Amino acid sequence: MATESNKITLVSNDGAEVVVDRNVAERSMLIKNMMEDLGEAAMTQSVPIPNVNESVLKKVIEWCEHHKNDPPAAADDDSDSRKKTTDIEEWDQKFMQVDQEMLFEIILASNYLDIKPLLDVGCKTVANMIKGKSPEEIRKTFNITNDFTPEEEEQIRRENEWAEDR
Amino acid sequence: MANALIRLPPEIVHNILKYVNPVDLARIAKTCRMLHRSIMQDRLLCKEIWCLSLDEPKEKGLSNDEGVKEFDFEHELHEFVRVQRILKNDSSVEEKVARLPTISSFATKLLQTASPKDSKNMAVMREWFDDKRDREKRDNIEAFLCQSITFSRSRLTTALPTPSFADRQASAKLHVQYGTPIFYPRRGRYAQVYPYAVSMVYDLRNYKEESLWGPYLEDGKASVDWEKLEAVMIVLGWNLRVFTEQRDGVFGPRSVWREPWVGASPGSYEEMQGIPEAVEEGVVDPYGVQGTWMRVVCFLDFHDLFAYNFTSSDTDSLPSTSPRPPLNTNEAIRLISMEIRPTRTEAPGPDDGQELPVVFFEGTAKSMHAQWEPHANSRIKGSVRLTKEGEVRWQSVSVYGGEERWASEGIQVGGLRSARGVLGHWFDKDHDVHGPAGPTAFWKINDHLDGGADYDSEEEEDDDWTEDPEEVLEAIASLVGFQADLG
Repeated sequence: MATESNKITLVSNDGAEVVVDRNVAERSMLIKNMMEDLGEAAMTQSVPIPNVNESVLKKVIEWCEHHKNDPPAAADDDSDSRKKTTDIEEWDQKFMQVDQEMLFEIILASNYLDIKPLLDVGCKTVANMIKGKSPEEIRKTFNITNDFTPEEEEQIRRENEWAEDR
Repeated sequence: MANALIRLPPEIVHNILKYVNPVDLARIAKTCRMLHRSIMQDRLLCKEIWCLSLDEPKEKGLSNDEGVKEFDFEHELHEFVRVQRILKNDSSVEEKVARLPTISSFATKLLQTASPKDSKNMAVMREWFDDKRDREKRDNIEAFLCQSITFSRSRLTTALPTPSFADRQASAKLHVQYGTPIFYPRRGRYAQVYPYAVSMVYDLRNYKEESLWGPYLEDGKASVDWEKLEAVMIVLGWNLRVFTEQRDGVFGPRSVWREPWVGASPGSYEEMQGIPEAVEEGVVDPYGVQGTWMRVVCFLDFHDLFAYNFTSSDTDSLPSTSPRPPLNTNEAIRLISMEIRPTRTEAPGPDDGQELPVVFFEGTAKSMHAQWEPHANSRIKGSVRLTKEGEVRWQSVSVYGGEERWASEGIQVGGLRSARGVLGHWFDKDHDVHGPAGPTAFWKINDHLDGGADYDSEEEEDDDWTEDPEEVLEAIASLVGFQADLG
C-alpha cells in the first residue's frame, strides 16, 4: 500500500509490489485510464498488472521515470509535426542494451500497458538488428528456422528479384 | 513463449518492420514462412516504409495522360531500391548512362509527388546529386544531368557515344528539373557549355511552325523538347550570372534557380504575403495566374543574330539537321515585372490536356531597367493550358501602343503552380523567319496586383513607377543559381 497520496502500488504477475509516482505510472495509457476510472480509490488500493513480471515491470518503470517529463505525443499520429525517424536517442539505446528475451518482454509489456513511445523504441531497436543483414544472418540473430520447401524458396527468390544486384 | 521475433503478435511485427530499410524487406521475406507472410499480407507496410524516408503523395499532381492514378507503394518502393542502387554504386559513367530512363522517370515521379514544404523527396534527390566533392556523386551529375546534345557536343573526349534521342531528352529533363544550370560538367573532359546552348537557342531554324515556335518537338501538339528548354535555362542562367557579376553583386542564398530541385514540383509556389486577391467573378484561376511575375528576356544583337544564321561562311553548306557551331557571345538581358490577371476561360481544345480549362489573361509588363528605354512598358495578354502530356503551357503576346509585337511560348517546369516558373522562347508575333527570337523565363513573385494588370483603365505609358535598383537586384538574387565548377 502506498502511503503518500501521489504514489500508487503496482503488482506484477509474480506478486511483487512496486511503488511508483502516479505521474510516472501514467506514462502508461492503460494505467492512466484506469486511474481516471477508479478515481480516489486508485490511490488506496494496489493495481494488478497481470501480464508483466517483476523484472520487466521494474525495467519499464525505469524508462517511465526517465521520460516522465516528455511532452505528450501528438494526438494525430500521422501529423507532419511528429518527426518520423528511425533514430533512437542515446539514453534509450543504452536502456535497450538487454538480452533478446528481455527486449521482447519490454516490447510486449509496453504494448499491453499502452506506452507508445517505449513500444516504438523497442521496435526500432529490433528493426536496427535486422537492417543490412542477409536472410541467413537474420535467422541466426533471431533463432529462426528456415521452414520453406525448395519450391517455396525458389518462388520467394523470384518475388524478391527487385532487391537483387543486377 | 512469446518472447521471440516470430511469435510476436502481428501488429507488433508490423511495428518493427515499418522501421527497416526498403531493401531489407526482401531479405526478411526470405527467412521463414511467418515473416514472409507478415510482409506479403500487410497492405500498409510499404506505405509506412515509403513515408518514413519519402513524402506521402497527395493527389495534386496531374499525371501524364491517364489522370491521377493510385500510387502503388509496393511497386514504387521496389523502384526506389533499384534507383538507390544505381545512384549509390561505383560503376563508371558509361555504365550509369544506360540507366538514364529509369532515373529520369523516377525523379519526375518524386518531384510530382513532393510535398510543397520541407520535402523529403528533394532531400533524398539533393543527396544523390549534390555533393561536389564526392567523386561518385559527381559521376551521377555527369551521367544523368549532362547527356543532352548540348553537353555531348561540348565533350572534349569522344569516349562516350552520343546518347539516343530518348536518353538525351531524359537527361535534359532531369537537368531542367534540377534547375541550377551546370556550366562546366567536368574540367578537362568538357568545354564550357554556354556557347553550345547559345547555338541551339539562337538557331532560327529551331523557330518554326511545326514546333509552334516554342521549345517543343515538331508534332504540333506542344510536346516538350527538353533539350531546347535546357538550352534556354543554360543561356538565361549564364546571362544572369554575368549581369550579377558586373554589378559586384553579392547575393544571399535565397532563390528559385539556386537550390537544386526546389520549385520543380506542383504547388511549390506558396503565397508568402497573405491572402490572394480574389479573381474576377465568373473566372477561375487553377493555374495561379493572378499576381506579379518576374520575367527575364535575353537577346542577341540583331546583326549578330542575322550573321550567325544567314551570312556566315558555312551557313549554306550546313546540313539542315546539323547544329550551328558554338557561339561565344554577349547578349543583352532585360528584367521585366509582369502583373497579370485571368479574364476568361474556355474549354480545352482537342489538342490540349483535358483536365483543366484554358485560362486567358491580360496585364502589364514594365521594364526594371532604365525608364528612358523605348518599349519599357507594354500590355501583355496570353493564355495557359495543359498539353496532352500534362505539362502547363503558357503563351503570351506583348502589345505596344495597341500593336502586337512579341510572342512567347513556354512550359512551367514542375507543373501546376510550381515555384520554378516558365521557361520558353520569345519571337516575332508574325513568325518572321529572320527573327528576332530568343530565350525567356518568368516566375511568380506574389499574388498581388497594384492595378497595373487592369488592362482597360490604365494609360499606356505609365510614369508613376520608379526604377528601384534594390528591387532589380533582389529579383536577380532570387533567380540566379551558380553551379560551381565540378571539375
